[in-house]
Amino acid sequence: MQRIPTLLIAIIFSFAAFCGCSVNYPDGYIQVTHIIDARRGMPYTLEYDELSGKYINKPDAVISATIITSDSTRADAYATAVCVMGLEKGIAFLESKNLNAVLFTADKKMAIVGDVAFTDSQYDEYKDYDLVHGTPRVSTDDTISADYGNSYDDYRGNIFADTMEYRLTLMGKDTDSVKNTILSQWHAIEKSVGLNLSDSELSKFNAMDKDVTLEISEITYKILSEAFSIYRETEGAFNPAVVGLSRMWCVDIEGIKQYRPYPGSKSGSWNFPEKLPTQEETELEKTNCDMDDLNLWQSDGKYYVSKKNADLKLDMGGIAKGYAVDIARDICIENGIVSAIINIAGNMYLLNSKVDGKVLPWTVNVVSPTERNPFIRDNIVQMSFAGNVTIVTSGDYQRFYFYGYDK
Amino acid sequence: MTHSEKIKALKNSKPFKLMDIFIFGAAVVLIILIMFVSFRKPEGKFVSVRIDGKITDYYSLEEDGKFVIGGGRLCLIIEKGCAYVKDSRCPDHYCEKTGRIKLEGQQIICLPQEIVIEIVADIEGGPGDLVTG
Repeated sequence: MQRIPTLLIAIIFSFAAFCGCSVNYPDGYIQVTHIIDARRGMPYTLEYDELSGKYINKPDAVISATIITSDSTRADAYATAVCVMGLEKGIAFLESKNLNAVLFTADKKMAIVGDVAFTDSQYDEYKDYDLVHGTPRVSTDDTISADYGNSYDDYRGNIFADTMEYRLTLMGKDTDSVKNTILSQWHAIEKSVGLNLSDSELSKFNAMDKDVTLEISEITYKILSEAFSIYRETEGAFNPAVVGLSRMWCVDIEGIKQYRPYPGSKSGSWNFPEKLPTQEETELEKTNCDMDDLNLWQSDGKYYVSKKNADLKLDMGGIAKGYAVDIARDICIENGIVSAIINIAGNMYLLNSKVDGKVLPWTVNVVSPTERNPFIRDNIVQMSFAGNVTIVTSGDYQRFYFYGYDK
Repeated sequence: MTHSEKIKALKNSKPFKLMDIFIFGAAVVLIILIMFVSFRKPEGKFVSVRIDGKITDYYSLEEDGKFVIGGGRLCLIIEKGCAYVKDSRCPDHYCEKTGRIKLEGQQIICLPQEIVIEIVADIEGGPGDLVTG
C-alpha cells in the first residue's frame, strides 16, 4: 500500500518521458545548397520528381570541385560552374580549358583532371572514393637548399564589411606598406561591387529601374565583363544573377543563418522553411536570371551599364574575391615580395615557393566533402605545389540546410 | 543440529567478519584502480585548431606560447603542457570559462565564433600550409 504513491510518480514520469520522445520528426531530409543552377531554377544537387511532385537529391552530384589555375578571378566561378555541370560535362569543360582539378561526387567517386601532385600524406576517408578519371601523381617537388631567411610577416583580418577573412603572409621588404596598398585596393573593390554597402555601384545597379544608364568605375566594368564572359563560356552554368532564386530557396546569407545545421546534430537542424518553392514559382523567377538583359559598354574612356529587366539583380561574390586576389598578387610582384600566401575566404594564391630556410613546395589540404557536421571537417587529400598557382574549392557543404519532408 | 538450531546459530552469527570487510574493501579499491587506468586518457601532444570546421593549425603542447586565432577572434595560450583561451571576442565567453585542457580529446568550444580547440595525440596526415574547401 505504501508503494502506491511511488508507483504513481514513476508512471507520471515515464509518461512525460514518452511524450518528450514522441516529437513528430520528418520522414526524410533533402539537402538544399547555395549553389544554384539558374537554368533549372533550383539548387544543382536537387531534382524535381514529377511522380511524387517532390524534390529529391541527385546521387551523382559533384559535391566538391577544387580548381588549380593561375587566373584567380575566374577560378571560383569555374569551380561553381563545374559543380552545376555535373561530373561528365565538368570534366570535359575543364579539359577544354586546360585546367587542373580534383572533383568529388556524392556517390563517392573521385576524378582528377590534368596534372595534380599529391604528397604521400594519406587520410582515411580518401579510401572510400573510387577514382573514375585521371591518375594521381605523387609529388616529386624537391626541396632546394638556399640561403634564405624564414621570416614571413602574417597579416590577418576581415574585409568586405567584416564578412570575409583574409590572410596575407608576405616575405620581402617593407611588407607593412605592401599590405596597406593591398587593403586600400580591396576597399575600392568593395565600394564598386560590395552588396553590403547600399551606395556601392552594384547596389545602385540592383536597385535601379530598367533602361536607365548608370556610369560605373573601371573596376566594376572589369568585374562585370569578366562575369559576363564566364557566363557565356560555361553556357549559363555560372550565373551571377541568381540573387532572386537564392532568396526564394532561402540559401542566401540570411536564409543560411536561419536554417543552417547546428554543430553536433546528426541530421542537421530541425528548423527549415515551411515549404520549398514549387516548379511553377521557380520557372517564373528564372526569367529574372537572364544575363542577356545586361548591357555593358564604354565610350570616351567612361564605362556604362543598363538593364532590360528591372528585376535583374547581380551578386559578384563569385568573382570579386578572386579579382581582389589577382590585384594583391600584382601589387606583391611589383613591390618585390619574394614569397607569399594571399587568401580571401578560400580564394588563395601562392606566390613562388615556400621558403623556410630552404625552398620548399607548398602543401594544401583539401577538406573532405562528406562530413555534414560544420564543426568537423577533416581533410581528404594533400596536394603539393611548386608555386604561382591559385587554388579554389567550391562545394555543397559550406552553405546548406536540411529540408524535412513527410512521405 | 536440528533445523531450528541451525536458524538460531545463523541468527546469532555476525553478518560480516573482519576478513569479509577487508576483501570487500580490496575489491572496491581494485575496481577504482582499474577504472582509473582504463578510462584515464593520456596527455596529448598537440593542439588542433578548427575554424568553421577546418583544421587550420596545429600547435605543440611542449612549447609555451601565445597565439592569435582566426584574425583576432580569440587568443590561445599554451603554458606548461596545458592550453586555454583568453580575450575571446564572443559574447558569452564560455570558451574562456572552460579553463585549462591537457588530456587527449578534451576540447574548448567557442560556439558563436565556430572555433574548436582540441587536444590530439598525433597530427593526422600532415598539417599542410593551407586548407581549401
